[in-house]
Amino acid sequence: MTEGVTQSSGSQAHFARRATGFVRDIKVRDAVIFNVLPACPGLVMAVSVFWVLSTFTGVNLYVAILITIACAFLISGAFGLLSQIMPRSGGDYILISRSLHPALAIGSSILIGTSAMLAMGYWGVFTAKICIGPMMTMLGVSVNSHWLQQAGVTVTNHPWNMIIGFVEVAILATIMAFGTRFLMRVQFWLFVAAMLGFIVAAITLLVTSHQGFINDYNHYAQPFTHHANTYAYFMHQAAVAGTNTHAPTNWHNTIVASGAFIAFGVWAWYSVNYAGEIRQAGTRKNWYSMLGGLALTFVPILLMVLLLEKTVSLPFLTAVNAVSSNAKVYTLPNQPWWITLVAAIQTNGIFVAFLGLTFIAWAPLIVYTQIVQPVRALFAWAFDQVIPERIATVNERTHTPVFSLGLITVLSILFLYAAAYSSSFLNYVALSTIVGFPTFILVGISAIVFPYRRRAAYQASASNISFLGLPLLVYFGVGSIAAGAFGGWLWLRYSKLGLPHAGQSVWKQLFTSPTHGGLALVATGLIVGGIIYYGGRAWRRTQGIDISLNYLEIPPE
Amino acid sequence: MKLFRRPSAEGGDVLRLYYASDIHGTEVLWKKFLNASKVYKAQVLVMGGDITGKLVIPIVRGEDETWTAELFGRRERMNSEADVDKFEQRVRGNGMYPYRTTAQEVAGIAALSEEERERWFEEVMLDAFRGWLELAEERLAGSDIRCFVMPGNDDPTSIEGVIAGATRVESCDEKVVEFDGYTMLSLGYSNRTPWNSPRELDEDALHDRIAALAEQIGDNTRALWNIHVPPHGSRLDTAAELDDDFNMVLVGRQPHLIPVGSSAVRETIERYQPLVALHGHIHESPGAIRIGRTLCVNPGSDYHTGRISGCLVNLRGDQVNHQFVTG
Repeated sequence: MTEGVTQSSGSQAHFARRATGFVRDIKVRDAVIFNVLPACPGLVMAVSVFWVLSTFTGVNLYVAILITIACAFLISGAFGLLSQIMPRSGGDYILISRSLHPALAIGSSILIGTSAMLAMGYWGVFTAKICIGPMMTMLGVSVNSHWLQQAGVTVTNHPWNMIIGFVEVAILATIMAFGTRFLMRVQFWLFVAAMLGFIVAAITLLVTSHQGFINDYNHYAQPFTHHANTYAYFMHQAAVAGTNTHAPTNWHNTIVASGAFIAFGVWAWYSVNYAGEIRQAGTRKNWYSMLGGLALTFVPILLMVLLLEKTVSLPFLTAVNAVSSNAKVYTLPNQPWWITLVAAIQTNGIFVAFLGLTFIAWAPLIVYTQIVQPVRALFAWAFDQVIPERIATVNERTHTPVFSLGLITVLSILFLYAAAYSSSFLNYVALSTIVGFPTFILVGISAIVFPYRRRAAYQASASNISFLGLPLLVYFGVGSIAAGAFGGWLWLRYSKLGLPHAGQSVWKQLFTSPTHGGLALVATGLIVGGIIYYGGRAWRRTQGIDISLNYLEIPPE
Repeated sequence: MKLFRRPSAEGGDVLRLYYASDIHGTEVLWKKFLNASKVYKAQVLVMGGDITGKLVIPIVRGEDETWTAELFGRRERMNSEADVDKFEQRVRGNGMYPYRTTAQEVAGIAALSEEERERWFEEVMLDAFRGWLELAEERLAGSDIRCFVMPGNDDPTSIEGVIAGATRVESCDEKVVEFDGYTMLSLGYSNRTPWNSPRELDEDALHDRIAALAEQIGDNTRALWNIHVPPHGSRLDTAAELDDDFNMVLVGRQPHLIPVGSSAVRETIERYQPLVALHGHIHESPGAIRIGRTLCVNPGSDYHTGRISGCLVNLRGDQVNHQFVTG
């Protein structure tokens, strides 16, 4: 059946037949948004920027962020180009298992999954701690409601923070169970709401002068600090406490501080977990969706930092964050994050409520992102028959992997409990950061070897691009290894970033409990991966199935 | 240790069959299909239809001894025979047919009536397919591998004659064949599609043909059904609904997914309960389900990625298990 001639340039026509097509549920636009979510600008601004300013004296925020952008670009290049060749759901597991070895791939998947589950606990509890609680307090101050202020404090403590976290995870899991299309609609509108709040806050900062901010802040803070010039008071108290708010640029601290941004900011490749469900995932749009996500993450962050510097000033941000942990000095009901500082400029109740609600919209977005990876990884393992196929069960109507989704939801209770009740949970969160770096290195190696080990698949793919005689994948592979090694080195070397045993010998970080040493946790993840793979393989052999065949490429010649 | 007592994957009494379909003219996938027996240690190969491609790419010779062509919307210029060979390889690797020609001939083809152009297209396809069969003769020579090839709904009817003329590749469409104590019936026709493709039947006709073949087998306990179109409502047949202009029907600005499989296939599977049913046709709906005792599989197709989606079917007596593989 010839359909006719598709005329594109005179005689250079091609002759096409009618044929069936490929349909996937997630639009490229939704994939771009999804790639922003692991580093939600609103929350990253609230957590990492302010942490960095108070921890690393003389840090140049712009350079630290630019280093992170470079790392994220290299890592997402390796992920994106590989994912275009293998557009299947399952993330790093799919990429590594088909390029290197399935045991390493499962190990990597476990490490990223551990990171995601810990982050789910962290952000789940922080929904109350940094979103709902502060917003209620902020609104309470604005409308002069003592009850709201008190309630805002109450929900930040356990058990309320854990309960709110679990309710959030359960609602998100339910939405996910209704199918990807519905989920993408929810994702889109929450993102629009969150970004709208972010833009309004940015405009507020843009139209407010530095002196105007000082006046507004003093007026806002006076009832709590009982100082007419709280701005100057905090600057003075920070200096008394030994904080150098006007330190010259310290390049060493700037490089170390980039580790903090790298922890949050190098996940623009996260849509590989969904690759089997994204439209045109076998084309360059797959990689471009990651680059789009990267731009959409860091352009707003950089702009907001610029605006904060203009209106609030970085010395004051450093000072107020330094004094915020001293309850005798810092008597305001809210932590000094960008959102609360903007709310101090414009205290109108409706405006504050709008800012608060749109800020809260970031929380479910970042929590749901953490649910996706373990659910898709379990699905991919089960699809490859490494674990029981029941786990890959997909609901007939909604096409959702309901079993793995239910399993992860139940497991999240443990992590939410730990986040709410364990005094050392922040140590675990630091540990969860280190486990991402081996994956970046393994995916980097996969990118280097793929064009040579899987030649036919590479040549037929949209990633078949050469530069100076070498596949582009090789460059990004080397880049991903360098970025992963750099990030890992920072976290293992500098204890200021929060990793237990950081700075000690490799030996001490490796031969310790996985809950106390980053290298020990990495080694444990890889060993468990090996056990799962070889255990699964032995079990399947008894059924006459050789799962090692799943990972082979048939040589065409 | 009961766990380790049963025979391994390469155990002597297991018959392993490799099934793939919907390669749509992608030469590299055909080569992989032929090599699958070695890699997966399969004794039987089954190609379940939609073998031929959808596009012919003219490579036009210019007056200055250079060649030009257009691929994926990009105009390419080739200065040597080696460049043209390389380009042709890329075209074949993407499920298309390269065709060396002149500007005058291209203009002539474009001016043909639809029917005449269809015949010309078919000749180009068949010519390429004969080359594929020659390759199969070469690669399978001296082995015990049984290799069955069936056309699907997208393939021209004339392809069946070309397959029938081959020696190492066996034609199986609308036949019952036997191997190692198992019987396999095959049917490459589909139910009606919006594309009005060459090999489509109404559900009643489809039902009658399948039932006739099943009756020919008699006892279907050890029967394999190689039927291109999957059963209706089986989750192996989910695709986007299309309107009369081949545009996707959107509900809430999203493609509306519907089951498009054959009710005749479903009814006959329910009635005759073969051991396994092998399907293709719907690329985006891979999976495995049971209809009664029958294991139904559709490995799907990602032919444009250069990787062949297939299914290994391990048969031992009237026991069966499956494994999806992408090579």
